[in-house]
Amino acid sequence: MRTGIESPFRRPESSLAPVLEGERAALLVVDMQYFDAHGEWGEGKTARGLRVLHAFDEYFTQLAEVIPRIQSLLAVSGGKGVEVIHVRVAELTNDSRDAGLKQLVRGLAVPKDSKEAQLLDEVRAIDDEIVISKSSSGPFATSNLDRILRNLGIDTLIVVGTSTAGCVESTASDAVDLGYTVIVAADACACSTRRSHAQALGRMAAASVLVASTDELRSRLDDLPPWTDSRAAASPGQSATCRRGFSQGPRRKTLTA
Amino acid sequence: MPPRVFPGAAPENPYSLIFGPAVRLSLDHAHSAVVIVDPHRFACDPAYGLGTVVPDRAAVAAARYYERVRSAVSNIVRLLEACRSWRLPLAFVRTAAARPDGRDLSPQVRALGRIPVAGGPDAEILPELAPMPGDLVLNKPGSGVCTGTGLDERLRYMGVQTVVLAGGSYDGGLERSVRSLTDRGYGVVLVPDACATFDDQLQRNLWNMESGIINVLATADVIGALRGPERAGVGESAGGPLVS
Repeated sequence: MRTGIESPFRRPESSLAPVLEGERAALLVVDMQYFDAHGEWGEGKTARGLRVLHAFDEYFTQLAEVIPRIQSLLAVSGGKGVEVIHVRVAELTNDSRDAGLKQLVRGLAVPKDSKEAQLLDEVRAIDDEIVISKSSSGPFATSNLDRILRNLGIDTLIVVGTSTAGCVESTASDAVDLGYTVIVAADACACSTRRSHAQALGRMAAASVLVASTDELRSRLDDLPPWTDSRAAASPGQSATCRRGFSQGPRRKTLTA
Repeated sequence: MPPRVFPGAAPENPYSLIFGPAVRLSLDHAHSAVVIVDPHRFACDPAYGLGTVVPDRAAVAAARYYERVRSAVSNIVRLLEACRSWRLPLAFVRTAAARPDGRDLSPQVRALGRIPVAGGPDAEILPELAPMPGDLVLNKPGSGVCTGTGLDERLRYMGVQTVVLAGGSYDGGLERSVRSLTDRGYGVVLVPDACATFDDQLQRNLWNMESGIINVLATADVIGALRGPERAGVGESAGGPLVS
């Protein structure tokens, strides 16, 4: 995908070069929550109160297009062993005393039990999916996501959500420095304007992030063999959608004697 | 003074309608530090490092990058001189490996095709920017200044709240550093005319990054703020935020 920003020092990445193995990949769904992705709550509510909601038309139009694509990736991830992780802006407290300075100076408090902290119904966490709360743009500075990904044996991240130039780019940037292979599904991300969306994708592509389309990713994921957890399957009462559940995935050492 | 906002460089950012202007950061030697990103030959001298592995198709783009580097370096020299006189701590953070095979670098840096090794010629900081006793010189394994460097801890020990940021950005490292420093709660005074990026559009965008706890100032303005009678209240709102 051509984005108009090219580094003289990087080889152009044209395709999803890395081998995508389901159980070594995670789908990170970034900030798809009432705070910043819904016209009636959080930022949308603020914009409405200031009578500037129209300035966000392009953003909410993109969001409407993006939601079904994220749903499409969510639908296939579980069956292929891809760990679904939801990342959201939210404090760990209800009085927001733990909020990061960057969030605080803009008045971006999101108390843990607020409506704004909740994930959108269309892409809400199901079953045993992990939800990470952060009080920053990228999750790595204010959460234990990096440690959790290592515990899970994950080295490849598929990043989707909002906003492309904000939290998605911060997530992808830090993840590259932390050594992950990072794939951004371009058309499963939304940004304040289509132009800033394209610019952010260009910056990321020039900085070692692989930029792909949802269709490309879907077909790569569809081609993977189904992931089955033998122990989860053998255990009555545990559904196959409880992917790793309490048991160990195939790439993990068994701790039992 | 260069214009803060280039016509057409930034899209109208609707978030600027609902967020207030950027916080006005102040500079003083007890709570501020200067961080210079990638001031080494690997990133800044065309005869070394990256300059030796530029493919022919990118020769023109690379030449423009090194022009920007020359211009940025002259401003960094002025910036360092002023900041030293005000006793601001200085940190130089450069991409460099401990091992000659680069195994201790991030995979993405390793993929550049040239390994800067600490102690080797590529890792040497440009002579005109040479560190002095008391300056921090940190090696980074990736692109941003926070990951794998210990910079965050050093800044915290020193009581630093605001970072004056400048340097080279051959791979988006400056922009990444702005994001990771602000995510960690530091105010950032970005000095675009003391920065060099690999792309015209990215270079213009640096002037539009003011928002939240990011201030964007020209070198002369930073020096003026340091020398000014009040030495507080540098920065004023301009442009739309890149980080929303």
